[in-house]
Amino acid sequence: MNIGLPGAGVGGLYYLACTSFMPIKEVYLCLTKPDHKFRYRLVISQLAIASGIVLGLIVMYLLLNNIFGLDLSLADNAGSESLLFYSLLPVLISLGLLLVILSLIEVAAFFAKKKAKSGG
Amino acid sequence: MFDTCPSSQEQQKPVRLTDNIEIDEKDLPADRRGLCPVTVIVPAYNEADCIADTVNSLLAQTLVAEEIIVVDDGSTDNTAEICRGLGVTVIAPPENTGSKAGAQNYALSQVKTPYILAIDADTTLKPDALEKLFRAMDDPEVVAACGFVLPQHVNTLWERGRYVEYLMAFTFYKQVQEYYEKPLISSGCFSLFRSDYLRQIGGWSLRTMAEDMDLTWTAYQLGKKVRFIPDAVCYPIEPRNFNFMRKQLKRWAHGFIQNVGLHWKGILKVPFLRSIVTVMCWDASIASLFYLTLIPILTVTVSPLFLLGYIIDLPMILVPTLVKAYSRGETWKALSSIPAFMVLRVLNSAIFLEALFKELVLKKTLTSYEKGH
Repeated sequence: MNIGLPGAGVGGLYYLACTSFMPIKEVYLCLTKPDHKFRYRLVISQLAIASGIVLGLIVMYLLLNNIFGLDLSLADNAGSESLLFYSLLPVLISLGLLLVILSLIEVAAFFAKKKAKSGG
Repeated sequence: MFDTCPSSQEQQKPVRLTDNIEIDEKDLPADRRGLCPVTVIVPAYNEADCIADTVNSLLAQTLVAEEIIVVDDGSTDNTAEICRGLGVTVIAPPENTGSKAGAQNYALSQVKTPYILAIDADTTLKPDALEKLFRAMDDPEVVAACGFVLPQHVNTLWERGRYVEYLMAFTFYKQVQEYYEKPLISSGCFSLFRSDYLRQIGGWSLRTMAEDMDLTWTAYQLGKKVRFIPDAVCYPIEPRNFNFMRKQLKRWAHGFIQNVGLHWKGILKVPFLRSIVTVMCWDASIASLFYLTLIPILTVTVSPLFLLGYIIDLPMILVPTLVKAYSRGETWKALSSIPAFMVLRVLNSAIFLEALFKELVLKKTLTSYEKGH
């Protein structure tokens, strides 16, 4: 059951971030739980998919840039450092947005927990 | 044109099931034909066209359920006769219960086994699906488990769109949810439950249009676990035309909003679940709004290049879809179905926004259950 826009938006970015965190979590579990076995197959397969997505997005960006010259106006007026910044801008905006959304929900969770503890 | 699952004719012995697996029921090793303490509940309303396939696939499982109960919920066709002919228990409430959950609850009181398999009347299973799913119950904290879902038929635009959606979601998103031990939903079409848990929460809930989501989120709030087992594969019949797809998406959208409204305080206490529900809310509402309004406006007023916004996230869809499709030998089928998915998600977005407006602004809650096919 998927609602709204499956595949698009900050949701996709969130799942990419979660996948990137998998190896770190596995190492942590191995260190803290002696009976935990590193789930190589699962982690590697999901990381491969996530890497494929990121690579695909870069290729997509380069293709669109070459075919349609999306950044040409920026490139004409900007130095190479600015061009890099403008190229990364959509990703940075999306990441920032995701961070804000997740932070807000964590703040809400914190206050809900506090309220529950105080019996409110 | 394309079927991922066999028809009833194909299921005559030797049984030819999906994924190139062909088995003869009698040839299964004795230790793999043991009775499993599971009661299967199949709610059915006018399912004469597909119920035989469903029951046959249940009978062909490597783990045999102790009892299969078909709840004939006021059918006007010969659903009950077909099931009786196949040797399974058929029960009928005095009158149509009005929902799938109602029919399932009617059967719940008759269950004597510690586990219940809930399956839709239009859903067939891979021969080892129950066996694979049952392993999740080794952990006593697990109260529900669900499997990989793939459309039984992949012919029409809507079935193709759904096929890509499932390949993508179950190969990537659901696997991540499973890794963090919080699958968003234990799919209503095929899930295994502990009977005690279902009785504890009063059975399948009638308070929302998405009882499966309600069950799953309730479990997390009670500190229980839900598992997703990707090797346990099921094949439901998906809506084949616009009208049925619209009804199903409408039910899902209203169900999601109703569940968020019902559980939001509880969800806040469950890490990861609160994050995935939040980003889902954002994507379904704000992103949908931009998708359906901002892109067309910018396209008309600024530049047609903004139309590229509709395909900019294509790798997000393509990569997981093709990874799974390739492993199933269905690369071309998946590739050729991508445009259908793009159409489906536009419809999905529009229906979600409509549902949001009705539920939150007009306060018109959807309460009547309409079958999705």
